[in-house]
Amino acid sequence: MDKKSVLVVDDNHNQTRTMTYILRRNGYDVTTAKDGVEAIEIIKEKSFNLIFMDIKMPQLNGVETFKRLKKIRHEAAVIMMTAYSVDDLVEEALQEGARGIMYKPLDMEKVGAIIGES
Amino acid sequence: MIPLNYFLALITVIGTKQLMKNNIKSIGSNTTVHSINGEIISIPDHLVQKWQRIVNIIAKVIQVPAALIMKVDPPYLEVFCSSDSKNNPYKLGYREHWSGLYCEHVLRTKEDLLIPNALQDKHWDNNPGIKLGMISYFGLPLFWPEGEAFGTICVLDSKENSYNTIYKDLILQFKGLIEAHLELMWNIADRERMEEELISKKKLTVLGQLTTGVGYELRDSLGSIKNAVYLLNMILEEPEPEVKESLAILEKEVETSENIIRSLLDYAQPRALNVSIVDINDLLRIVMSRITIPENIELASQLDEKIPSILADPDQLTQIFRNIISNATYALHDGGQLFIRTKVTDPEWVTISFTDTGVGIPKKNLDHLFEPLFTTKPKEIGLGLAVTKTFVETHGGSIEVQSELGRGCTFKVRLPINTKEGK
Repeated sequence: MDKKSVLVVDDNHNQTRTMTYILRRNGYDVTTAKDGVEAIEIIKEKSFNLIFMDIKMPQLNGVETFKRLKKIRHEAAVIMMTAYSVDDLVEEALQEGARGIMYKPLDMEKVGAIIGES
Repeated sequence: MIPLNYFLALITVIGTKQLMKNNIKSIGSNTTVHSINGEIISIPDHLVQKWQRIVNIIAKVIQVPAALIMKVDPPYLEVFCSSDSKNNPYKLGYREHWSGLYCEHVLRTKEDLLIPNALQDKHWDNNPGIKLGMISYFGLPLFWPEGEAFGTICVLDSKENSYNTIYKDLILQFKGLIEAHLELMWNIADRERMEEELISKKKLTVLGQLTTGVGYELRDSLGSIKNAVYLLNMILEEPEPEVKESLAILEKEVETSENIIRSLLDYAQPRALNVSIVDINDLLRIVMSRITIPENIELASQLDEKIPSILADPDQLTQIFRNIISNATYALHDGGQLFIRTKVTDPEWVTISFTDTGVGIPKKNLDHLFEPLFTTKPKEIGLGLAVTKTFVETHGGSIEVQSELGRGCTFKVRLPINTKEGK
Protein backbone atom coordinates (compact mmCIF):
# COMPACT_ATOMS: atom_id res chain seq x y z
CA MET A 1 0.00 0.00 0.00
CA ASP A 2 1.29 3.47 -0.88
CA LYS A 3 2.16 5.83 1.90
CA LYS A 4 -0.48 8.45 2.66
CA SER A 5 0.63 11.84 1.43
CA VAL A 6 0.42 15.01 3.47
CA LEU A 7 1.19 18.63 2.59
CA VAL A 8 2.03 21.03 5.43
CA VAL A 9 1.74 24.73 4.58
CA ASP A 10 3.02 27.15 7.20
CA ASP A 11 5.22 30.24 7.16
CA ASN A 12 6.68 29.14 10.52
CA HIS A 13 9.65 27.07 9.43
CA ASN A 14 10.05 25.36 12.82
CA GLN A 15 6.41 24.26 12.74
CA THR A 16 6.77 22.63 9.30
CA ARG A 17 10.10 21.02 10.19
CA THR A 18 8.91 19.46 13.46
CA MET A 19 5.63 18.29 11.91
CA THR A 20 7.54 16.76 9.03
CA TYR A 21 9.89 14.81 11.33
CA ILE A 22 6.99 13.41 13.34
CA LEU A 23 4.78 12.52 10.39
CA ARG A 24 7.60 10.92 8.43
CA ARG A 25 8.46 8.75 11.42
CA ASN A 26 4.83 7.75 11.52
CA GLY A 27 5.16 6.54 7.97
CA TYR A 28 3.63 9.34 5.93
CA ASP A 29 4.91 10.97 2.79
CA VAL A 30 5.32 14.62 3.81
CA THR A 31 5.83 17.69 1.62
CA THR A 32 6.08 21.24 2.97
CA ALA A 33 5.43 24.71 1.61
CA LYS A 34 6.49 27.97 3.25
CA ASP A 35 3.52 29.97 1.92
CA GLY A 36 0.35 29.85 -0.17
CA VAL A 37 2.08 30.65 -3.44
CA GLU A 38 4.52 27.77 -3.07
CA ALA A 39 1.65 25.45 -1.96
CA ILE A 40 -0.29 26.16 -5.18
CA GLU A 41 2.74 25.41 -7.32
CA ILE A 42 3.19 22.07 -5.54
CA ILE A 43 -0.50 21.17 -5.81
CA LYS A 44 -0.41 21.73 -9.55
CA GLU A 45 2.10 18.86 -9.72
CA LYS A 46 0.81 16.48 -7.06
CA SER A 47 -2.34 15.49 -5.16
CA PHE A 48 -2.39 14.80 -1.38
CA ASN A 49 -4.53 12.73 0.94
CA LEU A 50 -4.60 15.65 3.36
CA ILE A 51 -3.35 19.23 3.48
CA PHE A 52 -2.58 21.06 6.75
CA MET A 53 -2.72 24.78 6.13
CA ASP A 54 -1.95 27.64 8.48
CA ILE A 55 -4.62 30.35 8.24
CA LYS A 56 -2.44 33.39 8.88
CA MET A 57 0.32 33.66 6.36
CA PRO A 58 1.88 36.69 4.65
CA GLN A 59 0.69 37.68 1.14
CA LEU A 60 -1.79 34.88 0.53
CA ASN A 61 -3.59 33.74 3.67
CA GLY A 62 -4.73 30.14 4.22
CA VAL A 63 -8.32 30.71 3.14
CA GLU A 64 -7.35 32.49 -0.08
CA THR A 65 -4.86 29.72 -0.83
CA PHE A 66 -7.61 27.15 -0.20
CA LYS A 67 -9.99 28.93 -2.59
CA ARG A 68 -7.35 28.92 -5.33
CA LEU A 69 -6.24 25.34 -4.83
CA LYS A 70 -9.88 24.14 -4.99
CA LYS A 71 -9.91 25.39 -8.59
CA ILE A 72 -6.93 23.16 -9.32
CA ARG A 73 -8.00 20.16 -7.25
CA HIS A 74 -11.66 20.35 -6.36
CA GLU A 75 -11.51 17.30 -4.07
CA ALA A 76 -8.60 18.61 -1.93
CA ALA A 77 -9.08 17.83 1.76
CA VAL A 78 -7.79 20.71 3.85
CA ILE A 79 -7.42 21.06 7.61
CA MET A 80 -6.88 24.63 8.68
CA MET A 81 -4.39 25.37 11.46
CA THR A 82 -4.77 28.45 13.60
CA ALA A 83 -3.39 29.84 16.81
CA TYR A 84 -6.33 32.10 17.39
CA SER A 85 -9.79 30.84 18.36
CA VAL A 86 -11.91 33.82 17.37
CA ASP A 87 -10.78 34.34 13.87
CA ASP A 88 -13.21 35.47 11.17
CA LEU A 89 -11.09 33.51 8.74
CA VAL A 90 -11.93 30.29 10.62
CA GLU A 91 -15.58 30.73 9.82
CA GLU A 92 -14.87 31.62 6.21
CA ALA A 93 -12.65 28.54 5.84
CA LEU A 94 -15.43 26.26 7.08
CA GLN A 95 -17.93 27.90 4.71
CA GLU A 96 -15.51 27.30 1.88
CA GLY A 97 -15.52 23.61 2.73
CA ALA A 98 -12.44 23.08 4.90
CA ARG A 99 -12.49 19.60 6.47
CA GLY A 100 -11.77 20.98 9.91
CA ILE A 101 -9.89 23.38 12.14
CA MET A 102 -7.00 22.50 14.44
CA TYR A 103 -5.77 24.89 17.06
CA LYS A 104 -2.12 25.49 17.75
CA PRO A 105 -0.22 24.23 19.60
CA LEU A 106 -1.32 21.10 17.74
CA ASP A 107 -2.10 17.83 19.44
CA MET A 108 0.02 15.48 17.33
CA GLU A 109 -1.95 12.42 18.46
CA LYS A 110 -5.05 14.01 16.91
CA VAL A 111 -3.14 14.95 13.79
CA GLY A 112 -2.10 11.31 13.40
CA ALA A 113 -5.68 10.10 13.93
CA ILE A 114 -7.04 12.53 11.33
CA ILE A 115 -4.51 11.45 8.71
CA GLY A 116 -5.32 7.84 9.54
CA GLU A 117 -8.98 8.47 8.76
CA SER A 118 -8.31 10.35 5.52
CA MET B 1 -34.76 83.52 72.67
CA ILE B 2 -32.02 83.73 70.06
CA PRO B 3 -33.51 84.62 66.67
CA LEU B 4 -33.74 81.84 64.09
CA ASN B 5 -31.92 84.05 61.61
CA TYR B 6 -28.83 83.64 63.73
CA PHE B 7 -28.88 79.88 63.27
CA LEU B 8 -29.65 80.09 59.60
CA ALA B 9 -26.63 82.35 59.23
CA LEU B 10 -24.63 79.79 61.21
CA ILE B 11 -25.73 77.06 58.85
CA THR B 12 -24.39 79.16 55.99
CA VAL B 13 -21.09 79.50 57.81
CA ILE B 14 -20.76 75.72 58.14
CA GLY B 15 -22.06 75.81 54.60
CA THR B 16 -21.80 73.22 51.91
CA LYS B 17 -19.94 75.22 49.29
CA GLN B 18 -16.91 75.75 51.48
CA LEU B 19 -17.04 72.17 52.64
CA MET B 20 -17.09 70.85 49.12
CA LYS B 21 -13.74 72.44 48.39
CA ASN B 22 -12.13 71.40 51.64
CA ASN B 23 -13.49 67.89 51.74
CA ILE B 24 -12.45 66.90 48.29
CA LYS B 25 -8.92 67.84 49.21
CA SER B 26 -8.99 66.06 52.52
CA ILE B 27 -10.47 62.78 51.33
CA GLY B 28 -8.07 59.99 51.93
CA SER B 29 -6.81 61.27 55.26
CA ASN B 30 -8.46 60.90 58.64
CA THR B 31 -11.60 59.33 57.27
CA THR B 32 -14.29 57.25 58.82
CA VAL B 33 -15.36 54.49 56.50
CA HIS B 34 -18.94 53.47 55.88
CA SER B 35 -20.31 50.82 53.68
CA ILE B 36 -23.58 51.31 51.93
CA ASN B 37 -24.91 49.01 49.23
CA GLY B 38 -21.50 47.40 49.26
CA GLU B 39 -19.89 50.73 48.40
CA ILE B 40 -17.27 52.28 50.62
CA ILE B 41 -17.98 55.89 51.42
CA SER B 42 -15.53 57.97 53.37
CA ILE B 43 -16.52 60.76 55.70
CA PRO B 44 -13.60 62.96 56.72
CA ASP B 45 -13.03 63.44 60.41
CA HIS B 46 -13.23 67.21 60.18
CA LEU B 47 -16.71 66.88 58.73
CA VAL B 48 -17.69 64.64 61.62
CA GLN B 49 -16.32 67.38 63.90
CA LYS B 50 -18.65 69.89 62.20
CA TRP B 51 -21.59 67.59 62.84
CA GLN B 52 -20.44 67.40 66.43
CA ARG B 53 -20.62 71.19 66.65
CA ILE B 54 -24.11 71.05 65.19
CA VAL B 55 -25.41 68.73 67.93
CA ASN B 56 -23.63 70.82 70.58
CA ILE B 57 -25.40 73.94 69.29
CA ILE B 58 -28.78 72.21 69.09
CA ALA B 59 -28.55 70.93 72.67
CA LYS B 60 -27.48 74.34 73.93
CA VAL B 61 -30.19 76.28 72.09
CA ILE B 62 -33.06 73.91 72.83
CA GLN B 63 -31.69 73.35 76.32
CA VAL B 64 -31.97 69.58 76.35
CA PRO B 65 -29.54 67.03 77.80
CA ALA B 66 -29.06 65.19 74.52
CA ALA B 67 -28.87 66.06 70.83
CA LEU B 68 -27.64 63.17 68.70
CA ILE B 69 -26.79 62.03 65.23
CA MET B 70 -27.39 58.29 65.10
CA LYS B 71 -26.00 56.04 62.39
CA VAL B 72 -27.52 52.84 61.07
CA ASP B 73 -25.14 49.90 61.31
CA PRO B 74 -27.38 46.82 61.13
CA PRO B 75 -28.29 45.22 63.46
CA TYR B 76 -27.28 48.22 65.55
CA LEU B 77 -27.89 51.90 65.83
CA GLU B 78 -24.73 53.77 66.77
CA VAL B 79 -24.32 57.12 68.53
CA PHE B 80 -22.30 58.88 65.82
CA CYS B 81 -22.32 62.39 67.32
CA SER B 82 -23.51 63.22 70.83
CA SER B 83 -23.82 66.73 72.26
CA ASP B 84 -21.31 67.73 74.92
CA SER B 85 -24.25 68.88 77.12
CA LYS B 86 -24.56 68.23 80.84
CA ASN B 87 -26.32 65.01 81.90
CA ASN B 88 -26.21 63.54 78.41
CA PRO B 89 -26.42 59.76 78.96
CA TYR B 90 -25.47 58.89 75.35
CA LYS B 91 -21.79 58.13 74.94
CA LEU B 92 -20.12 58.48 71.57
CA GLY B 93 -19.82 55.19 69.74
CA TYR B 94 -22.41 53.48 71.93
CA ARG B 95 -24.32 50.86 69.95
CA GLU B 96 -27.77 49.58 70.69
CA HIS B 97 -29.60 46.67 69.08
CA TRP B 98 -32.79 47.52 67.23
CA SER B 99 -35.08 46.91 70.19
CA GLY B 100 -37.84 49.47 70.09
CA LEU B 101 -35.73 52.63 70.11
CA TYR B 102 -37.30 56.00 69.32
CA CYS B 103 -34.93 56.40 66.37
CA GLU B 104 -35.79 52.94 65.14
CA HIS B 105 -39.40 54.09 64.69
CA VAL B 106 -38.19 57.12 62.71
CA LEU B 107 -36.12 54.84 60.45
CA ARG B 108 -38.93 52.35 59.94
CA THR B 109 -41.55 54.98 59.08
CA LYS B 110 -39.03 57.30 57.40
CA GLU B 111 -40.92 60.15 59.04
CA ASP B 112 -40.42 62.66 61.84
CA LEU B 113 -41.36 61.51 65.29
CA LEU B 114 -42.46 63.70 68.18
CA ILE B 115 -42.99 62.11 71.60
CA PRO B 116 -43.73 64.83 74.16
CA ASN B 117 -43.93 62.31 77.01
CA ALA B 118 -43.20 58.65 76.46
CA LEU B 119 -44.45 57.78 79.94
CA GLN B 120 -47.97 58.57 78.80
CA ASP B 121 -47.90 56.04 75.97
CA LYS B 122 -47.67 52.31 76.74
CA HIS B 123 -46.07 51.76 73.35
CA TRP B 124 -42.77 53.10 74.75
CA ASP B 125 -42.84 51.18 78.04
CA ASN B 126 -39.80 49.10 77.20
CA ASN B 127 -37.92 51.84 75.42
CA PRO B 128 -34.22 51.94 76.34
CA GLY B 129 -34.48 55.77 76.35
CA ILE B 130 -36.86 55.70 79.33
CA LYS B 131 -34.38 53.60 81.28
CA LEU B 132 -31.87 56.38 80.71
CA GLY B 133 -34.43 58.92 81.91
CA MET B 134 -35.11 60.33 78.45
CA ILE B 135 -38.89 60.62 78.24
CA SER B 136 -39.39 63.07 75.40
CA TYR B 137 -38.10 62.83 71.88
CA PHE B 138 -38.07 64.62 68.56
CA GLY B 139 -36.19 63.10 65.65
CA LEU B 140 -35.87 63.21 61.89
CA PRO B 141 -34.49 60.58 59.51
CA LEU B 142 -31.24 61.28 57.61
CA PHE B 143 -30.98 59.87 54.11
CA TRP B 144 -28.27 59.17 51.58
CA PRO B 145 -29.08 60.75 48.17
CA GLU B 146 -30.70 57.61 46.80
CA GLY B 147 -33.06 57.27 49.73
CA GLU B 148 -31.21 54.74 51.85
CA ALA B 149 -31.19 55.60 55.55
CA PHE B 150 -27.99 56.97 57.06
CA GLY B 151 -29.55 57.38 60.52
CA THR B 152 -31.30 60.11 62.45
CA ILE B 153 -30.81 63.52 63.99
CA CYS B 154 -32.69 63.84 67.25
CA VAL B 155 -33.08 65.54 70.61
CA LEU B 156 -34.09 63.95 73.91
CA ASP B 157 -35.21 65.47 77.19
CA SER B 158 -35.63 64.17 80.71
CA LYS B 159 -38.88 66.10 81.11
CA GLU B 160 -42.01 66.50 79.00
CA ASN B 161 -41.27 68.61 75.97
CA SER B 162 -43.28 69.38 72.83
CA TYR B 163 -40.39 71.22 71.15
CA ASN B 164 -41.71 74.43 69.64
CA THR B 165 -41.93 75.00 65.94
CA ILE B 166 -38.79 77.13 65.70
CA TYR B 167 -36.68 74.43 67.35
CA LYS B 168 -38.13 71.80 65.05
CA ASP B 169 -37.35 74.02 62.10
CA LEU B 170 -33.79 74.47 63.37
CA ILE B 171 -33.27 70.70 63.48
CA LEU B 172 -34.87 70.40 60.04
CA GLN B 173 -32.37 72.94 58.66
CA PHE B 174 -29.46 71.00 60.11
CA LYS B 175 -30.92 67.78 58.68
CA GLY B 176 -30.80 69.47 55.25
CA LEU B 177 -27.18 70.47 55.80
CA ILE B 178 -26.08 67.00 56.92
CA GLU B 179 -27.88 65.42 53.97
CA ALA B 180 -26.07 67.85 51.66
CA HIS B 181 -22.80 66.59 53.16
CA LEU B 182 -23.92 62.99 52.61
CA GLU B 183 -24.74 63.79 49.02
CA LEU B 184 -21.30 65.27 48.58
CA MET B 185 -19.64 62.16 50.04
CA TRP B 186 -21.83 59.98 47.85
CA ASN B 187 -20.87 61.90 44.72
CA ILE B 188 -17.17 61.73 45.54
CA ALA B 189 -17.42 57.96 46.07
CA ASP B 190 -19.37 57.68 42.82
CA ARG B 191 -16.73 59.65 40.94
CA GLU B 192 -13.95 57.53 42.37
CA ARG B 193 -15.82 54.39 41.35
CA MET B 194 -16.26 55.72 37.80
CA GLU B 195 -12.59 56.63 37.63
CA GLU B 196 -11.68 53.11 38.72
CA GLU B 197 -13.99 51.67 36.05
CA LEU B 198 -12.38 53.88 33.43
CA ILE B 199 -8.90 52.74 34.43
CA SER B 200 -10.11 49.15 34.32
CA LYS B 201 -11.54 49.71 30.80
CA LYS B 202 -8.28 51.26 29.62
CA LYS B 203 -6.39 48.28 31.00
CA LEU B 204 -8.72 46.04 29.02
CA THR B 205 -8.31 47.90 25.74
CA VAL B 206 -4.54 47.63 25.98
CA LEU B 207 -4.89 44.02 27.00
CA GLY B 208 -7.11 43.28 23.99
CA GLN B 209 -4.63 44.76 21.56
CA LEU B 210 -1.71 42.98 23.15
CA THR B 211 -3.55 39.70 23.25
CA THR B 212 -4.31 39.48 19.59
CA GLY B 213 -0.73 39.92 18.56
CA VAL B 214 1.24 38.34 21.35
CA GLY B 215 -1.15 35.41 21.92
CA TYR B 216 -1.00 34.44 18.26
CA GLU B 217 2.77 34.60 18.00
CA LEU B 218 3.36 32.74 21.24
CA ARG B 219 0.98 29.93 20.36
CA ASP B 220 2.77 29.50 17.09
CA SER B 221 6.12 29.25 18.85
CA LEU B 222 4.71 26.92 21.47
CA GLY B 223 3.45 24.73 18.64
CA SER B 224 6.98 24.15 17.45
CA ILE B 225 8.29 23.48 20.97
CA LYS B 226 5.44 21.05 21.63
CA ASN B 227 6.10 19.23 18.35
CA ALA B 228 9.81 18.99 19.11
CA VAL B 229 9.12 17.49 22.54
CA TYR B 230 6.65 15.05 21.00
CA LEU B 231 9.24 14.04 18.44
CA LEU B 232 11.94 13.48 21.07
CA ASN B 233 9.57 11.40 23.19
CA MET B 234 8.83 9.37 20.07
CA ILE B 235 12.46 8.84 19.08
CA LEU B 236 14.13 8.28 22.44
CA GLU B 237 13.22 4.74 23.41
CA GLU B 238 14.97 4.56 26.75
CA PRO B 239 16.15 8.06 27.62
CA GLU B 240 18.39 8.66 30.62
CA PRO B 241 16.45 9.77 33.72
CA GLU B 242 17.63 13.39 33.38
CA VAL B 243 16.56 13.50 29.74
CA LYS B 244 13.21 11.96 30.56
CA GLU B 245 12.68 14.45 33.37
CA SER B 246 13.73 17.39 31.20
CA LEU B 247 11.26 16.37 28.51
CA ALA B 248 8.51 16.13 31.14
CA ILE B 249 9.43 19.62 32.38
CA LEU B 250 9.25 20.96 28.83
CA GLU B 251 5.83 19.40 28.35
CA LYS B 252 4.56 20.80 31.64
CA GLU B 253 5.86 24.30 30.92
CA VAL B 254 4.32 24.29 27.45
CA GLU B 255 1.00 23.37 29.05
CA THR B 256 1.33 26.18 31.62
CA SER B 257 2.10 28.66 28.86
CA GLU B 258 -0.85 27.42 26.83
CA ASN B 259 -3.13 27.97 29.83
CA ILE B 260 -1.89 31.51 30.35
CA ILE B 261 -2.42 32.37 26.69
CA ARG B 262 -5.87 30.78 26.71
CA SER B 263 -6.99 32.80 29.72
CA LEU B 264 -5.63 35.94 28.11
CA LEU B 265 -7.56 35.28 24.91
CA ASP B 266 -10.69 34.17 26.75
CA TYR B 267 -10.75 37.39 28.70
CA ALA B 268 -9.88 39.81 25.94
CA GLN B 269 -11.97 38.16 23.22
CA PRO B 270 -14.66 36.02 24.88
CA ARG B 271 -16.19 33.30 22.76
CA ALA B 272 -19.93 33.17 22.11
CA LEU B 273 -21.87 30.83 24.41
CA ASN B 274 -22.24 27.31 23.10
CA VAL B 275 -25.08 26.01 25.26
CA SER B 276 -26.41 22.55 25.89
CA ILE B 277 -28.20 20.75 28.73
CA VAL B 278 -25.70 20.39 31.56
CA ASP B 279 -25.86 18.33 34.73
CA ILE B 280 -23.87 20.51 37.13
CA ASN B 281 -23.10 17.64 39.52
CA ASP B 282 -21.78 15.41 36.74
CA LEU B 283 -19.68 18.22 35.37
CA LEU B 284 -18.22 18.91 38.83
CA ARG B 285 -17.42 15.21 39.29
CA ILE B 286 -15.58 15.20 35.96
CA VAL B 287 -13.63 18.37 36.84
CA MET B 288 -12.76 16.98 40.29
CA SER B 289 -11.54 13.71 38.80
CA ARG B 290 -9.36 15.41 36.18
CA ILE B 291 -7.75 18.12 38.25
CA THR B 292 -4.58 17.24 40.14
CA ILE B 293 -5.15 17.80 43.84
CA PRO B 294 -2.01 17.67 46.03
CA GLU B 295 -1.98 14.89 48.62
CA ASN B 296 -2.12 17.23 51.59
CA ILE B 297 -5.51 18.53 50.50
CA GLU B 298 -8.63 16.67 51.48
CA LEU B 299 -11.33 17.12 48.84
CA ALA B 300 -14.93 16.53 49.91
CA SER B 301 -18.23 17.27 48.25
CA GLN B 302 -21.92 17.30 48.96
CA LEU B 303 -23.80 17.44 45.69
CA ASP B 304 -27.54 17.98 45.87
CA GLU B 305 -29.06 15.36 43.58
CA LYS B 306 -32.26 17.39 43.29
CA ILE B 307 -30.52 19.94 41.11
CA PRO B 308 -32.16 20.06 37.69
CA SER B 309 -30.02 20.15 34.57
CA ILE B 310 -29.51 23.65 33.25
CA LEU B 311 -28.90 25.19 29.87
CA ALA B 312 -25.26 26.31 29.89
CA ASP B 313 -21.94 26.25 28.07
CA PRO B 314 -20.18 23.17 29.50
CA ASP B 315 -16.72 24.38 28.44
CA GLN B 316 -17.17 27.69 30.21
CA LEU B 317 -18.60 26.03 33.33
CA THR B 318 -15.68 23.62 33.36
CA GLN B 319 -13.28 26.52 33.26
CA ILE B 320 -15.19 28.37 36.01
CA PHE B 321 -14.92 25.32 38.28
CA ARG B 322 -11.30 24.60 37.37
CA ASN B 323 -10.26 28.19 38.06
CA ILE B 324 -11.92 28.29 41.47
CA ILE B 325 -10.57 24.88 42.48
CA SER B 326 -7.11 25.80 41.28
CA ASN B 327 -7.30 29.01 43.35
CA ALA B 328 -8.33 26.98 46.38
CA THR B 329 -5.47 24.50 46.00
CA TYR B 330 -3.06 27.43 45.82
CA ALA B 331 -4.51 28.82 49.07
CA LEU B 332 -4.14 25.35 50.59
CA HIS B 333 -0.41 25.00 49.89
CA ASP B 334 0.14 24.01 53.53
CA GLY B 335 -2.66 21.47 53.36
CA GLY B 336 -6.28 21.54 54.51
CA GLN B 337 -9.74 20.87 53.21
CA LEU B 338 -11.66 21.86 50.13
CA PHE B 339 -15.39 21.35 50.34
CA ILE B 340 -17.57 21.62 47.25
CA ARG B 341 -21.29 21.83 47.60
CA THR B 342 -24.22 22.25 45.22
CA LYS B 343 -27.64 23.33 46.31
CA VAL B 344 -30.91 24.61 44.88
CA THR B 345 -31.16 27.85 46.82
CA ASP B 346 -34.56 28.84 45.50
CA PRO B 347 -36.76 27.63 42.64
CA GLU B 348 -34.79 29.61 40.09
CA TRP B 349 -31.19 29.43 41.26
CA VAL B 350 -28.55 26.83 41.88
CA THR B 351 -25.59 27.68 44.11
CA ILE B 352 -22.22 26.00 43.84
CA SER B 353 -19.95 26.81 46.77
CA PHE B 354 -16.25 26.08 47.16
CA THR B 355 -15.00 26.40 50.73
CA ASP B 356 -11.35 26.00 51.62
CA THR B 357 -9.53 26.13 54.94
CA GLY B 358 -6.54 27.89 53.40
CA VAL B 359 -4.73 31.11 54.12
CA GLY B 360 -7.67 33.35 53.31
CA ILE B 361 -7.67 36.62 51.40
CA PRO B 362 -6.69 39.95 53.01
CA LYS B 363 -9.54 42.44 53.02
CA LYS B 364 -7.58 44.89 50.85
CA ASN B 365 -7.33 42.22 48.13
CA LEU B 366 -10.99 41.18 48.27
CA ASP B 367 -12.15 44.31 46.44
CA HIS B 368 -9.74 43.67 43.57
CA LEU B 369 -10.07 39.92 43.34
CA PHE B 370 -12.07 39.82 40.11
CA GLU B 371 -10.21 42.65 38.39
CA PRO B 372 -8.11 41.78 35.35
CA LEU B 373 -4.34 41.72 35.86
CA PHE B 374 -4.68 41.42 39.62
CA THR B 375 -2.78 38.54 41.15
CA THR B 376 -0.79 37.59 44.22
CA LYS B 377 0.60 34.45 42.62
CA PRO B 378 4.11 34.61 41.18
CA LYS B 379 3.42 32.52 38.06
CA GLU B 380 0.10 34.00 36.97
CA ILE B 381 -0.94 37.10 35.12
CA GLY B 382 -4.16 37.68 37.04
CA LEU B 383 -6.90 36.72 34.62
CA GLY B 384 -8.27 33.48 36.08
CA LEU B 385 -10.87 35.03 38.33
CA ALA B 386 -11.59 37.89 35.91
CA VAL B 387 -12.41 35.28 33.24
CA THR B 388 -14.40 33.28 35.78
CA LYS B 389 -16.52 36.30 36.64
CA THR B 390 -17.08 37.14 32.96
CA PHE B 391 -18.18 33.57 32.23
CA VAL B 392 -20.52 33.45 35.23
CA GLU B 393 -22.08 36.77 34.26
CA THR B 394 -22.46 35.69 30.62
CA HIS B 395 -24.62 32.89 32.02
CA GLY B 396 -26.75 35.46 33.85
CA GLY B 397 -25.28 34.36 37.18
CA SER B 398 -23.23 35.94 39.92
CA ILE B 399 -20.12 35.12 41.90
CA GLU B 400 -19.16 36.27 45.36
CA VAL B 401 -16.37 35.56 47.78
CA GLN B 402 -16.22 35.61 51.55
CA SER B 403 -12.96 35.26 53.37
CA GLU B 404 -11.32 35.65 56.71
CA LEU B 405 -7.55 35.92 56.81
CA GLY B 406 -6.05 32.72 58.14
CA ARG B 407 -9.37 30.91 58.11
CA GLY B 408 -9.92 30.20 54.44
CA CYS B 409 -12.49 31.40 52.01
CA THR B 410 -15.69 30.53 50.19
CA PHE B 411 -16.51 31.22 46.57
CA LYS B 412 -20.20 31.06 45.75
CA VAL B 413 -21.34 30.79 42.15
CA ARG B 414 -25.05 31.31 41.53
CA LEU B 415 -26.47 30.22 38.21
CA PRO B 416 -30.03 30.62 36.98
CA ILE B 417 -31.79 27.28 36.50
CA ASN B 418 -33.55 28.39 33.32
CA THR B 419 -30.52 29.80 31.65
CA LYS B 420 -31.33 31.39 28.36
CA GLU B 421 -28.83 32.70 25.86
CA GLY B 422 -26.73 35.15 27.84
CA LYS B 423 -25.47 38.60 27.02
